[in-house]
Amino acid sequence: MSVTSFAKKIMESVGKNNSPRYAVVAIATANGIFKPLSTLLDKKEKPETKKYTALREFLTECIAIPIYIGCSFIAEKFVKGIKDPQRAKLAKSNLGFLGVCAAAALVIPAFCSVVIKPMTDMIYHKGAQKSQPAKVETKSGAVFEASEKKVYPYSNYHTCSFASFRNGGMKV
Amino acid sequence: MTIGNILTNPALYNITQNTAAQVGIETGLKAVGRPGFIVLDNNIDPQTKKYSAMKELLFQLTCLVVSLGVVVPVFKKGSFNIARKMFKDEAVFKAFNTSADFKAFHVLSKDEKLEKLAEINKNSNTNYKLEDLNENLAKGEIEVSSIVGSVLGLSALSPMISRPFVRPVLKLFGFDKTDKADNKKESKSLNTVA
Repeated sequence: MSVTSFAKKIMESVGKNNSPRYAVVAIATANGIFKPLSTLLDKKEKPETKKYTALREFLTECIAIPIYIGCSFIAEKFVKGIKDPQRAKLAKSNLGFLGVCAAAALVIPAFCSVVIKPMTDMIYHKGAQKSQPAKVETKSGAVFEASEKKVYPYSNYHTCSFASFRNGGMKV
Repeated sequence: MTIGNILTNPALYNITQNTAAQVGIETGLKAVGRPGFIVLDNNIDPQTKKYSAMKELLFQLTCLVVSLGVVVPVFKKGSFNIARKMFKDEAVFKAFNTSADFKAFHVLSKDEKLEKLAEINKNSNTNYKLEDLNENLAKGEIEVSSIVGSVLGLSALSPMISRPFVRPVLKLFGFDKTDKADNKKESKSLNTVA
């Protein structure tokens, strides 16, 4: 199949029925790629803020695509009540569009406001735990990095730092 | 007018089948819905909330103007000329010189189309019949070019164009992002480990 005949088939199909899904899914897919890229290329923002914003934008579009498709399909199901095929064709397109509108105005923003924050927190939490060990500050102002201590529960051996040994003194 | 009559309304059908209208309405709803949900979010500091909502509103409006006002019309015009070269044998691309001419013809009733076609045949010394015109192809070409234009306009060009424009406008309206508000937001969103 040549490029011309392939393009002709696609155009004829879109010409017969230009479902609102095509445009919104294409835009959401492109937004998921270009918006985070453009945010990451912004020189005025702080690197950490840039990464966080880009992640949010990417996740928003990832969530938006299935919701657009799902909402328009669900809305189109209500066409079953219309028996006349000509009227049903009109109603199917109109209902699909109303589904997309509901997704854009309500479902996606609502879903994103609930889901995005825990998702970004989870991703940042994981990364931060691996890269940054917790820090402990003493009364004198000295800061120590907390390291994992090995604990042997069924033995008499307990790890003890030199500082606590010295402060406790020798007990007989 | 019942709900059934609204849902089967041909005028609404023409709008829902038009990519520019779809994109315009959808982006308009996004411009209202997204800032609205930002304002309703109780986890964000009030100053940051106002700033973010206004920024999102301005961004979506800029995208809409840039995309539908500039990119889509240019794409529609250019792509119809490309299609005329690509599908040289198609009568529909020979009969109509521009996408606007075809669109004006496409919305006519059958009798009006026959009348218009007779006029075209007389002016260009041709003998096209209504069956010769592949209207689905021409309409599909216009809609596909609108989708491509919208994608490029909304996703690739608008963020680059809107960024230098949105910040000064926000400052003009008194929505200046202070470092304090910025730090608050960051500490709320990022510093979850400490």
